[in-house]
Amino acid sequence: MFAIRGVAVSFSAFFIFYTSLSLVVCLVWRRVRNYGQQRSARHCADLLFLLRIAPFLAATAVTLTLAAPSFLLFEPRAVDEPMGVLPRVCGFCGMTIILGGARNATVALMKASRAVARWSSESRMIGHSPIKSGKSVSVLRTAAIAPPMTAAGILRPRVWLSGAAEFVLNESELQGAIRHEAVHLRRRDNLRKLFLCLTAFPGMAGLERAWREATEMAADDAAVSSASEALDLAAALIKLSRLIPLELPVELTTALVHSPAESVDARVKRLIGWTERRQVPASRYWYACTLCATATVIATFAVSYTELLLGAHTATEWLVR
Amino acid sequence: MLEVLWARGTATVRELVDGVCQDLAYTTVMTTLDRLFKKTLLTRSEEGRAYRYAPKFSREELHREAAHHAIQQLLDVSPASSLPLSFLVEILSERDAQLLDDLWKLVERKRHELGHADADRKERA
Repeated sequence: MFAIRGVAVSFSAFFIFYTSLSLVVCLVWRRVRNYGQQRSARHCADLLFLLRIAPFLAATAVTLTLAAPSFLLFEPRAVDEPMGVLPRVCGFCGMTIILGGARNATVALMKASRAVARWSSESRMIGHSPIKSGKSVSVLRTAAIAPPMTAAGILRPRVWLSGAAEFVLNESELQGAIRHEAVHLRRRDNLRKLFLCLTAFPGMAGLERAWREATEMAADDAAVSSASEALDLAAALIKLSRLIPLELPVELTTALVHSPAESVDARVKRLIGWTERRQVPASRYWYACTLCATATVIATFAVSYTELLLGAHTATEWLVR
Repeated sequence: MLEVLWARGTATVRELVDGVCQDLAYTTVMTTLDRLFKKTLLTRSEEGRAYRYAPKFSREELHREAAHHAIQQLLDVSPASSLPLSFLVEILSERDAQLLDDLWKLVERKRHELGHADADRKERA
């Protein structure tokens, strides 16, 4: 009974925090996007991703560092305390969220690996593209039905190119498009998508769409270093948008073109108006601030941990009754 | 008028006439806002002897509502419900193709400009 109560309390705490924070995120993400859009696309994408997974991370941290330990430390094991309806329902909902997320992630992984296996069966290597100093990613051409250009794989990332895409793009456009996909792999966007699958919450579709668009723009920015390269990538985008999609993009992959024409329009116009200014690296001030804030939170947490545990126990006592 | 209110948040007739709607008569602005209010597109609250108007819907909400209404009407008047949808898909495809054509022209123009700029630079060098 003690163990069941402990599990129910932990999952209830997770559910309450996760739901409350997710609702707050649903209300504020548009403001955050507007702020992020004033900075670089990469900054905007990172900010939106952080916002999207913040409820899950915060709820997990609170559950693992406060709710569960306080229950184990302060709850008398000998007392057979009855459990109310609220912790049962909340605990069930919390468990459903976690199991549902795990199921979503597993299904997405299976779909992605099936698609990659299908593309691999009729593929040949056409080159490598550098993603980091000393690291490169394989570029394969597949004869199977596939999206024109896709980056797939989390542990062994590769770029896939369809025969039609290879046919319509000239050499510089092809290189621009491959660099774009390589940026997605360097930024581990497919792994980030897996996190999104794990942390499903209704009402987050708009935020996820905005994040996807921001990642595409961030990859566009990072893939070009001159106005002519920007125009090559813009041309590649337009040409691949004209190809009739024979297969829908698979989850946990990043296709060069998968979005509606309006989004392609915005990306192409950004590339046409490319300037050196966009290539200015992100300010270190932001990272220093984040680091300081994190250090302060951890220090405060460490200093007042006992009081926090007591507070958490009082709250869980109230919840159980 | 809605664009102005979306940008400002709220406004009275006087504020609009003194600000961005200087070319319009006071009564024109007042009548327009009153009509928009009666069409439930605006909300208003009394402020002294005047009203302060605010948009009831965001731009996105209004566009969604308008599109929903138009598609609903289209479906209602057609004997076969799949027919208007196929028209819609056709129109969207044509629109997308047109959009891509326009973008391609922009890219070509920019390439042309860049080519000229490079040639000028080489000449000067």
